[in-house]
Amino acid sequence: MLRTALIALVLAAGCATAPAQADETATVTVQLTGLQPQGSVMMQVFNSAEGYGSGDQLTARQIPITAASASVSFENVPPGQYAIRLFHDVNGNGQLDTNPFGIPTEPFAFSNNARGRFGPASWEDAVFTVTAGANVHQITIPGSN
Amino acid sequence: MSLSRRQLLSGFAAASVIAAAGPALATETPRWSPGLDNAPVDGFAEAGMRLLSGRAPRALAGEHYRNGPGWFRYADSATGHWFDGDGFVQRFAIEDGRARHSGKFVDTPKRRLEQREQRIVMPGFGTRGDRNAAIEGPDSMNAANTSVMIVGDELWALWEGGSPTRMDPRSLATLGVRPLRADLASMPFTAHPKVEPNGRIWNLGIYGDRCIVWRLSPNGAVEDAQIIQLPTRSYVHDWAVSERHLIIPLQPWIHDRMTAPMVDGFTWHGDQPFRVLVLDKNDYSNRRVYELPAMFFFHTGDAWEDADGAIRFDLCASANADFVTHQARSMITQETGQTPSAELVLAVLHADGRAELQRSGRYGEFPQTDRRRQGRARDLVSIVDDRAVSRLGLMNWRTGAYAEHDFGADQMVQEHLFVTKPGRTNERDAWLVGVTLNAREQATELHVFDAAGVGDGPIATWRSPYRAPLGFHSTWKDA
Ligand SMILES: [Fe+2]
Repeated sequence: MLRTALIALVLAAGCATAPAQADETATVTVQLTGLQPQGSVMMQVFNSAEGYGSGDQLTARQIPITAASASVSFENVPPGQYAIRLFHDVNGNGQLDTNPFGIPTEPFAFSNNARGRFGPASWEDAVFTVTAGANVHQITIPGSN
Repeated sequence: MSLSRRQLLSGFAAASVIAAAGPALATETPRWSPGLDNAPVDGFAEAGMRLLSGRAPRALAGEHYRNGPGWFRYADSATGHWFDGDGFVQRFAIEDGRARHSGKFVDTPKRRLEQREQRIVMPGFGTRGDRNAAIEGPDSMNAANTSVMIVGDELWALWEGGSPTRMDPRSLATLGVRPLRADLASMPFTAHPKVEPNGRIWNLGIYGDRCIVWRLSPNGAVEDAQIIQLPTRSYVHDWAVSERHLIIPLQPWIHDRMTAPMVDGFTWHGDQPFRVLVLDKNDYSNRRVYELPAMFFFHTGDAWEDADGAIRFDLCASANADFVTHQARSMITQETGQTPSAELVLAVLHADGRAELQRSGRYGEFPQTDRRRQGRARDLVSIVDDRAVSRLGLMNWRTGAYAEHDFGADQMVQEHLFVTKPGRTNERDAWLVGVTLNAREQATELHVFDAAGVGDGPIATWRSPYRAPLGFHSTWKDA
């Protein structure tokens, strides 16, 4: 029965693009599956727990979606610890839509396919390691509510 | 009202009287335990029920749909609370003096996931769940287990924290969750919508100290949806609607801590009043707050207003929240405990701002009224009492008369619904149709009473060759 006040997920809708910082040691390909073929995915990449917590991103991408899967590559990435959060802007209005109680009505996801319980996934659950050379990271987009 | 003055109490005296008068009887064995076993994973295929006694009136034709938790445990994990079992919808079809039964689980994302993994995953009202559960929103946890309503050609399985789940009323196949309106996806929709005699549907959805007020057309289209501010947080499971007002009882059981499971985040504030927020149906800013002594409730009967402006509605009230915080958990572990008691009371909200309680001295839950009279003056309300023995009772607020039928200690009696006799208009020209679980016979029984003669016992009883889970709420659909 009742679940009042269960979920108030707040994802910052960062969609500005910034160039990847280069030291030419790794590439990261993020593969997205489970998409409805419309709109764009708005993706933010973080390289520290502090940045992840405050929304201070390392870089961000807008990825137009025309099929059930998509991929995006980041070049010249320094090896290290990263986390990704994204949402699927299905209706293309540039933001993560929510219902009047702040619950997202568009799909969202995190690296490692981590899920928050009553909020965004934690840095600890979303962090993954990038090593020198080619890296592939897969994220499945959950169906929208 | 011709009840004796003795029964008309008001002010804080009533709270202490309710606390003292509720005879909480300890039971030797958990009478409910057969009703809290898992139902068969594929449900019950449609089959005839055996007529045990009496004879069903020819004019009685339709379906009694019923919902309630029907799955509680896997090999290594169990739900933590009665309220968290997966929704199991049953259909009792009555036609030509015969009855047929079928039942199916609501095929929710929660159930699909947990059946796949063969364990409890999702958190619930009284269930911790897996801390890594993939929660996309409230409907990830939606158990669709609380009530059912017919909307257009569909049967909706309701759960107060999230969206209605649509089903096919004939096959009980799950059609899925479709938002009532795209921008209102994942909004709560209580398990107690109120349907006006003209078919218009009202409902609430509670979220902290805010609330959505839904107004739907008879076929389920959103006519209006507004967010309102409540004067306090509260656990609002049920509410009431009169001809001109929306009536939202705000008991002092308050979710004030975020913790898992959710039920542990509630506090009983017995020093605070039981507030009742009353809104004008046509203008929600036109509101008034009444105060009654602290009491706990799950269910209202229905509301009506007098020519003098007083609003009346029935409640099944108890002294505190012990049932929901303790007993509904120990039911899962099959421990014995005290059987809850709630007294049928009538809340009276006077035009001058005073509020009082009229007591019945009758104990029970799952109050039901004649749905033809929704929001209109009426005399009757039925309740069921499952303390030491099981009884169906019918209270007449105007005369004070109370008729009851004793099912005995072997039966667990569930909600009994008013079913209108075709072409008749008197309130007593109705049948009461409901279900019992016969623990001795390990069987589910379906009963029909004449509302004018509840004390005479059922006029027809059928029995299934098996037992189905206990449930919460039912709805009736005329054939
Ligand atoms: Fe209920």
